[in-house]
Amino acid sequence: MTNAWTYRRADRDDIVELASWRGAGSLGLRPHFHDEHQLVLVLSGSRSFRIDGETITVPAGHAALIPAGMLHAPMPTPDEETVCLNAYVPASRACSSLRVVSFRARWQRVDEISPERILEIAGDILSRAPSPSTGRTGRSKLGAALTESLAPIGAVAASLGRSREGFSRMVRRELGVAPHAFRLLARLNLARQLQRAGEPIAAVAADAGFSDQSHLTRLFRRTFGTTPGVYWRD
Amino acid sequence: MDIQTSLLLLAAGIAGGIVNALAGGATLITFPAMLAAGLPAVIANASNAVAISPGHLIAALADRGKLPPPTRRTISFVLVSTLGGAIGAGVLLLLPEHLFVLPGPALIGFATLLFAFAPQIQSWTIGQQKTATLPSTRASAAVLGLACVYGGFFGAGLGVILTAVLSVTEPNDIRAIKALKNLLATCVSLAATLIFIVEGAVRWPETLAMLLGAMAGGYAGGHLIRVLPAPVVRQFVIVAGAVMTMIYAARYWL
Repeated sequence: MTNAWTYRRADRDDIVELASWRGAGSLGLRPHFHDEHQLVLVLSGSRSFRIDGETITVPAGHAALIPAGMLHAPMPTPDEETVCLNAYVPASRACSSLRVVSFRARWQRVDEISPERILEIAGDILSRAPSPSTGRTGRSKLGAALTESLAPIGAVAASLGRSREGFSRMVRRELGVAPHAFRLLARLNLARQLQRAGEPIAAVAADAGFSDQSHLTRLFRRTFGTTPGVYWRD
Repeated sequence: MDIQTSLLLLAAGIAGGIVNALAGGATLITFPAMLAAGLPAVIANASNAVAISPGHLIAALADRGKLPPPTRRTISFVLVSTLGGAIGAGVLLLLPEHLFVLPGPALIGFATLLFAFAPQIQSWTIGQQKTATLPSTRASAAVLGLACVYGGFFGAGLGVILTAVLSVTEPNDIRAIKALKNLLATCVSLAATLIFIVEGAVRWPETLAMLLGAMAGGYAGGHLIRVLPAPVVRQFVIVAGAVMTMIYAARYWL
């Protein structure tokens, strides 16, 4: 049984969207990042992520804040029943490292968690986050260089005064994936944002630079755990 | 839990089991392994305590013949250390996470220092007995209780502290100190373990992997005693503790 993520809007500006998942023993996803901070609340079971070559486990009763732009690969959950709620909050306050904290509440279902409580937990983690280091701005500059122009990778590398190979190595080291893969993830995030704004899937696929709707659908599902059709449906 | 993590925990458990059988101080190796497995600090600490608790129990059982007779004094020590361990564990779970994470490197560093200076601490405390008369049960129990609160809270270096405290309070029977220390450490460990389990602070897959390793290591340690001299193992633990202190200080403080 492969469960999909269920996405819904929070109907407020300070939470971009919510996603919930319940199940056991499946759902490893491709490494990806988001344009927003992702707050992972684990109600039961546990979730694990592969981040920067390390495994991070978020046990039941714990919340993790994955900063915007941080590459993470959700790993398959073990065979215990897991209930999880993700909340995506605007990255208005900078944060550069992942933190796991325990929330002192025993929720059974995701709809018992109020938006206020979600923001309180996110705010609590963010208020204790160290101020971002200079390395972070280097990273976001590199990401911007890759996504703001459609020029071939070699041309982007040349504009930064580097060889294509040297640039690829730097991107892999700083961003965790090869330049092409990074661009693809940025386009998937764009597709998600356009759908959230209400654009039809076919138009989203074209606007985000996918060859057709099925190409977008396939990559979207492997990365975000649901198909654009299901994601878009309110 | 992936294969890599399971193997890491199993290996750390084996190393911890051997170290505990020969010199003590396993937590300085096993607690960082739990953190490296990706667990949040408080959960890592609780799971670690559960994983190495059978080691304390086995040591206490092996030494039961040398225990002092169950006088009022020893019985009150047992009660106080059980209560202390439970309080320490309760404080750990009630405290906000960052109040454990921030002093974490200092706790590892403190335990490493305790361990490194154990011989000096021991000879100093044994020197005290000549000047002082046997302290009252109430005063001794109060000091023991404080040590056991620390033991339930973090646990690393509890053996060194208990040995030091007991050699001041019970100077008349040096041979009984080790057996009594093992008994009290077991009480602390069992009380804390019970609270961690009931409160759901234990991650079982990680804990079982390490527990299995610790049992195997503890068993092997008994046979390795001729091959691995205790001073060498002690130095290894001190170096490991120092390295862990620096790694976690850099990670949590910088």
